[in-house]
Amino acid sequence: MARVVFEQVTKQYDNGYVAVKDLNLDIGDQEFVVLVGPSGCGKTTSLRMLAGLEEITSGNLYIGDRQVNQAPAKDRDIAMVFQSYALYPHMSVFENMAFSLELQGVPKAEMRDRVQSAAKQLGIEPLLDRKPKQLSGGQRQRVAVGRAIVRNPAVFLMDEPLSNLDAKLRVQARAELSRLHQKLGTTFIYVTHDQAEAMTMGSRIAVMNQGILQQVDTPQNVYEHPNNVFVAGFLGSPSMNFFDATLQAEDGELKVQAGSLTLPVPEEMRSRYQEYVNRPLILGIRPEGIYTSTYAPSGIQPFPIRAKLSVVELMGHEAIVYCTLPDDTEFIARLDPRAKLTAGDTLDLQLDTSRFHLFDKESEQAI
Amino acid sequence: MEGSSNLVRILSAIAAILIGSGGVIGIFYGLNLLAERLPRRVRTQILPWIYVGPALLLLLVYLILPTLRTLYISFFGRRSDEFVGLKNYIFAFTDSDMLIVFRNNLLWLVLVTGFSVGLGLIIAVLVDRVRYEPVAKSLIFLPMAISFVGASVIWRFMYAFQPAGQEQIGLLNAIWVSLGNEPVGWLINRAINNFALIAIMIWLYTGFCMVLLSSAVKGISKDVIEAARMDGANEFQIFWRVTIPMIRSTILVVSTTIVVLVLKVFDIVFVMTGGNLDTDVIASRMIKEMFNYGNYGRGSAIAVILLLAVIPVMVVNIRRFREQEQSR
Amino acid sequence: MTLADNRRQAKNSSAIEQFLAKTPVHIAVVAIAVIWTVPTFGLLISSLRDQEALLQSGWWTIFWQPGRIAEFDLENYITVLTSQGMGQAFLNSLVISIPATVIPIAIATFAAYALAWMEFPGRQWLFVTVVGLLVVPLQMTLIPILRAYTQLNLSGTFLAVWLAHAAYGLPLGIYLLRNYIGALPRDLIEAAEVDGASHLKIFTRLIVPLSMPAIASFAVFQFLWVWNDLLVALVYLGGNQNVAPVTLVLRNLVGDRGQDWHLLTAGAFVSMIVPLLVFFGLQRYFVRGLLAGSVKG
Ligand SMILES: Nc1ncnc2c1ncn2[C@@H]1O[C@H](COP(=O)(O)OP(=O)(O)OP(=O)(O)O)[C@@H](O)[C@H]1O
Ligand SMILES: [Mg+2]
Repeated sequence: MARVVFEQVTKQYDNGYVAVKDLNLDIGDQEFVVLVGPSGCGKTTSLRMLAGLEEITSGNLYIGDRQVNQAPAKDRDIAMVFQSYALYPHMSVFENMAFSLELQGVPKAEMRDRVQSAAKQLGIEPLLDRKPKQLSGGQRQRVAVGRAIVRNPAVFLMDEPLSNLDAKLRVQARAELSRLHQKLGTTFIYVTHDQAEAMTMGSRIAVMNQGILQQVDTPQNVYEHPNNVFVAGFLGSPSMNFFDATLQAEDGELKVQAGSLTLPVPEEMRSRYQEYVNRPLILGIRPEGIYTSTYAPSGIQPFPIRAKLSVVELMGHEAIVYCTLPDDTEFIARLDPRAKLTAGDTLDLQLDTSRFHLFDKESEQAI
Repeated sequence: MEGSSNLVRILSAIAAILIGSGGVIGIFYGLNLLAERLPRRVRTQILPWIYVGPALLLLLVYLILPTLRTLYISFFGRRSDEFVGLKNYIFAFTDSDMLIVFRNNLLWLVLVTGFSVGLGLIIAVLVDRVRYEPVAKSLIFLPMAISFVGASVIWRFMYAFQPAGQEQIGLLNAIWVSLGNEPVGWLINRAINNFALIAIMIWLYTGFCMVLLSSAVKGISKDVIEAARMDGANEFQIFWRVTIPMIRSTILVVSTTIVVLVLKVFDIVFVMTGGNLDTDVIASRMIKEMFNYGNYGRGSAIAVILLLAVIPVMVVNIRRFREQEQSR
Repeated sequence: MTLADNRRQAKNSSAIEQFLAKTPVHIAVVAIAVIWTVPTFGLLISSLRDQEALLQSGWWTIFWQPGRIAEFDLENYITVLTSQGMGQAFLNSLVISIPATVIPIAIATFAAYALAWMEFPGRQWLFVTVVGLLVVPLQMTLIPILRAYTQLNLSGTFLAVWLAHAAYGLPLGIYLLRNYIGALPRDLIEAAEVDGASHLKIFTRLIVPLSMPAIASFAVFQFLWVWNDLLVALVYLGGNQNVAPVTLVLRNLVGDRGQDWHLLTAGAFVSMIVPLLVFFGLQRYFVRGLLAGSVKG
């Protein structure tokens, strides 16, 4: 059981590329933290530094109370599940799982018990004699997890362990891993670029971009209160619509003005926004904050707009609609598919003004 | 009595094998045990050198230093006690025997490379179309497993020569005589003995070329061949215009390999003719200078010439390797 | 006739046609295969005939008189093995070849692992050197090493040839194995590292088992090379008949008993039997070794 702390950790590769910059992250014991971000943002690098597979350039790294900057991988009491699973192809499933115990010199009988019980937990007992080549993708993934749990490590590291599974299996494996975390009560650090995994699995998620940590919080908070334009755009699918905007004060009221859109600012927000009046801003509205008049739920603060539908993608449970405003601004809406949506039509839509986001244009930070 | 001495022989052979093979593994384990006792920081620095150390040592002692040493003594006299400058090289390039050696080597290079690569390519393409391909390939490839000495005996027997009127026991002369000709002293006649030796090398290495080229030919996608056929190319046009250009790099690699091999060929000449009757080549001449004439200076100079001849290949290899590394 | 019959017949005739269209190809392939086999085959037949018969008629005449096959016996083999020293030479060849294969395998595999997966200064440079050494003619090294051997009294010992062969085989071994080991997935090695394996454990438990195909290729290649070698044995073993391998004894037979075909043919076959077994048993690995090592001279 262990807490993990990154303190100003920086990684610069030999070619001079800075893959992770001044990472500060405090992960509590038993937490399930998901590292998420676009490809190449430094997630794997961060994980590998923690695993001891990559030297850190500067900063400090703690597992438990121990500083592990220099400790080799095998002394860090961690287990890692690789994206490729990295099962030893010449060993049976049993031998794969027992390998680390064998290296620790665990007695044969205990080794067998621990492998058996781990295999039982994951439902892979019947596979113990097979070679990795004789397993399906899902089974391999479970063996890789099994290999990690037999060791009973202080921290679990997982680097996109589900990305080689098909969509359906991925959903199932996601739930299994969450359950496993609850049962084991070990610290989990999980890397993914899949937002669904990030949102559903983590007790907290850490969003990275270009080697820099952007925001760490519970999934819901990150989604509802993104720190900056990048986080707002990265989470959510389709991603948030952004418009150039300004705040205007009129008769004691605040209004967001973005092209032909004019949105009233709800009363409770006014004091917070006051200082940004007349400054260039970015307005963000999520596609699910837009409704057709017929299917708009109650409890929203509607603002009517008229838009032309240029492309309509019917997905069954929802419709993704590309819309154009009269001034040619484009945005995406996620609408109820029961409304009669036809590309080319012009339709009355409602914006929920209680759920928009404003960012400073210059710093891209939320205000 | 004799049984027991045979037993002793076999037992000591087994003992020698175990000592030789076990020794090296023992050395690595011993070094590793030592390394484990060192503090961690030192260990991670030293361990790589323990792993590459023995290799480095052998390469240095058996290849690099002797090469430099040979270079050095090629400027000295027969017993390496007096500096003679370029005299050995001047000898090598002007002596009339040496000129024959170079002529022979040139013949070897051109004919062996041309025939074994050319034939190998033709066979590779032909054999691709028959169902008994593996058997045919094995048979043609088989000589590769035979030593030069063994091959020499095989061909001495093929070339065996009896004076006219006697029964010929060599297959070539038997055929030749049955066609109404006089028997030929294949290895004695100065006009043909070099070609007789060269034929042995071709026989040995055509299979090698075929195997390498055949795997390249199989690597050509069937689609390309079919596209060419749709475009109206006949089999010969496909061979010249599609197959050959597509496996050009393999042909190049195979050819350079053969060139290097031919430059170093020594055993065939040494066993078949001892280099007499104008059949010497560079490598066999070098051994002769060394053993028969005891002239280490000349021997070394000839070896250096051999090295100079392969240096272009070495440079190409290194350059190709560098490119591969960069594209990794 | 049913439709199916019809179709079958059409198929048959087209198969025959196809075969006929390919006749020139078949003739060429069969002819070449036969030409390439006849010399060895003739030697095999001859080695089984007795001394006089060999000198009186060509080996092919037994096909005109198949009854004479009954005269075949192994007497020539018994003679070369016992009275011509081929028996001892055969043992010597084994004693030379097996350690001269195992030693460079061990050394090259360790070096290849370090070159592929360990960080140390000069690593790249070292490998470039190895690539360069691939084609250095071993003639370049004979004189200095022979002199050193003579001084150290190593000339004419097994150790002398073991080490020389090991060193001469190393560049190919390191080259081949480093390329193979370097291509193993990085994840596997890191997984073992996280699992707590030291370098030696990674090497013995992971690298060696996974590199078996490459090791086998190199082993077959090196074994055949050493077994078939004449030059190294000739130079470093000198005239010591007690340690001479088959190639050396066979070449002496050619020199001393050049017309005794019954000895030469049997002797040649004794020297060829092990390479032929290796060739037929392990051809796959041999070809792979050749493909990978086709830069070596
Ligand atoms: N050994 C290396 N040398 C130099 N640069 C590297 C090295 N490894 C990774 N990088 C660079 O560092 C950056 C971060 O890489 P990293 O593997 O951490 O990304 P990631 O967030 O895991 O991406 P992905 O989602 O694609 O796996 C990338 O731009 C990558 O090109
Ligand atoms: Mg990654």
